[in-house]
Amino acid sequence: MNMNQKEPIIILRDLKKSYDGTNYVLKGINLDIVPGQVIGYIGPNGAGKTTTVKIMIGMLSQYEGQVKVFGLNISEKAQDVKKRIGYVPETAALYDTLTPNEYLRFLGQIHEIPGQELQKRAGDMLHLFGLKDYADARMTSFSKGMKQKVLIIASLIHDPDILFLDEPLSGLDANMMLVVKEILARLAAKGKTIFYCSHVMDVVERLCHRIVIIDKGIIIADGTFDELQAMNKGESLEKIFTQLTGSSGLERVAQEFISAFEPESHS
Amino acid sequence: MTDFILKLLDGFRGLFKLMKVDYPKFRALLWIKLTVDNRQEKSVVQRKSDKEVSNSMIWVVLLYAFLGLFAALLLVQIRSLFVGLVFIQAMIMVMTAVALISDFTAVLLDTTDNAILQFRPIDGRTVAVTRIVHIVLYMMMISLSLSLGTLVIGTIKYGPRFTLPFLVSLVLSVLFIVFVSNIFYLFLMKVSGENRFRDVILYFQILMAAVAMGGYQLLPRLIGDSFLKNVSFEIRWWTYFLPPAWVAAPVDAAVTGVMSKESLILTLMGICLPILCVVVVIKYLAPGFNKALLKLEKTGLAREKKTIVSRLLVFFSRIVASKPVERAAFQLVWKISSRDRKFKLKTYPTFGYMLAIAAFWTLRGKGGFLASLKNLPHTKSYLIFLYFGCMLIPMTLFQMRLSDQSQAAWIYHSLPIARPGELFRGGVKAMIVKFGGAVLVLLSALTLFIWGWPVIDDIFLALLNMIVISYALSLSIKNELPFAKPYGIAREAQKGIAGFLLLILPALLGFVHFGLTFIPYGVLLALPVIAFFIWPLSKMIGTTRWDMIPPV
Repeated sequence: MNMNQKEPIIILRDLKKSYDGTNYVLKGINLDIVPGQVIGYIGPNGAGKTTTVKIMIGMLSQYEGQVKVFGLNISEKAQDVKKRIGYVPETAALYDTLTPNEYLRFLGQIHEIPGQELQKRAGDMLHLFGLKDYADARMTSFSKGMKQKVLIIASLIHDPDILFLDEPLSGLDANMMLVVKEILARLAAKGKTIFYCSHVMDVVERLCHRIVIIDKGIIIADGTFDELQAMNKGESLEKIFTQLTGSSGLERVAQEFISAFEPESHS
Repeated sequence: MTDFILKLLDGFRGLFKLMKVDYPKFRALLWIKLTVDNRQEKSVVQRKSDKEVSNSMIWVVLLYAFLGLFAALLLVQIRSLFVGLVFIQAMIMVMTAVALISDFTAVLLDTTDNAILQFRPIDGRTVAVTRIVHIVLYMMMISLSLSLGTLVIGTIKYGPRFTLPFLVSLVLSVLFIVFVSNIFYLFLMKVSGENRFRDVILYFQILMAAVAMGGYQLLPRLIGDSFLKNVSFEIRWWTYFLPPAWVAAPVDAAVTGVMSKESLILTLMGICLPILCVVVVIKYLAPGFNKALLKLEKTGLAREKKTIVSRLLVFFSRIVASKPVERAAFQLVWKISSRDRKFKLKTYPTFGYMLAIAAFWTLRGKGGFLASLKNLPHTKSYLIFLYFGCMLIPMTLFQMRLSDQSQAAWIYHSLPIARPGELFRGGVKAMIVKFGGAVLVLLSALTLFIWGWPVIDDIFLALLNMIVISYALSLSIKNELPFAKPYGIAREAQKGIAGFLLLILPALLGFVHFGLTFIPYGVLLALPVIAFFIWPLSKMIGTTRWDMIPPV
């Protein structure tokens, strides 16, 4: 399948963002994403990953450049875009005095999903994620992983065309990680587009059709894993990432750090 | 300001050490708390520099100073310094206590800092003492602001002999209030068991707020009118149980230069009891306090069942909210407000003391309670009832904005909601139906029982006015989303300003209503007029756009 023949579902043109008017978090991002792609969007802390996502999903409206999702200008048609996208944020923040069922019902009401349909979807998904027995329990006593599962279900409940995931696997145990990875692979096979931000390189390496590396607000690499591997002579994505983001000499930094705690005589 | 406070506390370093408080850690923790208070008002976007914003508290100080001025005038009106001071101090203590009970209890019982401190080498006593001192500082600020007028008038009238004893007694009385409430909370925790503590404390708060306000209303009746005009005041057995008398006695003795046996006992009580409370709390109760609080946080699995209330909720939401977003917000706000402990801790006590004030105002006529009660059907006191009820709803609206889980508000921003104003309006309607409905049903039943059916039109007008008041006040906060703002101690104090301002509108409409009762068919004619305002106001609340709301 040659994905490049399809019309892009997301277009970013010279996207810039500054929170204070002087320092730019994003310094001109250009990106075309076609439907059915699983994009791995990786970068060091503070590189601008979450900011890019928040702009694409219409949570941040002040930016420079052009952002089109489903061919719609996000700054003008944010509501139309939001109807067709799902989002899992980096922090597992939700109103935990509610139960999963209540939280999903709230979202279903906003997305105008008919009651019975919503109930069925919620029930199926809670079952799939092993939360069926907790569907009517307040989330105050939930572990981080359980809350993360609810957030993933919440992002899928309205059957979105694009899924934006910001570190979706944090807090999940190994089994659940496999389930989520399988779900994402099947969603992609169904033609859904997945924009996946993560620090976990091996997941990105195995799951994503295309990998975009961002550093200090600019894209420094873009291609399939094989392409990146060929260009950078790295064995793994982790190595390639380290080379590209200038994180070389980490062994020396670690040694200096350890030495700082050793008594004078040993150093 | 933070540095000044810490330097001031450095003077008492020895005292803290004597109480086995780890002073350097205490100081570091308090610095963090005060710095966070100063900075929390600025959002990320606004924060262009790290300059602290301590100005936010100046308005709080000014407001309390203004209120205190009215009390200070008693020093001129009442001839006996002792009686005057008892009244003034009673007012200061009640207002401080009510602020403590309604706004600062949640801060005292807050366990969010445990996430950072639990695994650090800092003992429970130091953590608890820091928390208490943090609150004491705010209480001091409130009571000092309230007594500013008294301090100035007293110093002018009686000279510098008045100033120092008054200040010292004031500080001690604040310590007494804070530490006594601590003792109560710990006692409640012990007797009620951890699981029920949460419920018990709510009832206790309502009761305490009602007792504090009720006591304040009762005081003039105890002392009697004739004493207010006389120069001397005879100290009776119950005087020793009045904490305001402990403050009044030493000041009175210092000014007059006469220290009677009674004054001496009162003075000693004023000095010894607060110190005793401080010692008991710090030495014996504080070490276990934090641990007990931690246990409170560990909750079991609470399951929700489909009850009549949950069915009613869906029913109400369909009636009052036409749009899906509004309906969803209505249900969300209703549920969270029923379960969020902090929300309950902050709103329910207000219900207690407001109803107590309403009851005392209704029965404040001359000739005693029984005579007032007998005469009640011939008065128009039901308006006091109904309009005090009206004051309660706006308070819940202010609280509806705040949550410990404000971070969870990202969900609103990610959903296809064209007008976030509809979310807010749904929340406002939930508060009106849930709390307004409950209060008004209770008060209406009472009103109908005492005054009968002829006042039914008044009840309807009060109901409409309550909606108008709630909507009008919502306009001032319409650019906020439900449970989207974090709590903060400085914000609690600031809520006081809005709280006092919102008393004006119900009072104003109450007076207009009172006037209408003298005009034939006045109330009936006013009904459609007031109803006419509801729709446009409701529209205005829902107009908030995304660009008016700060990003997450």
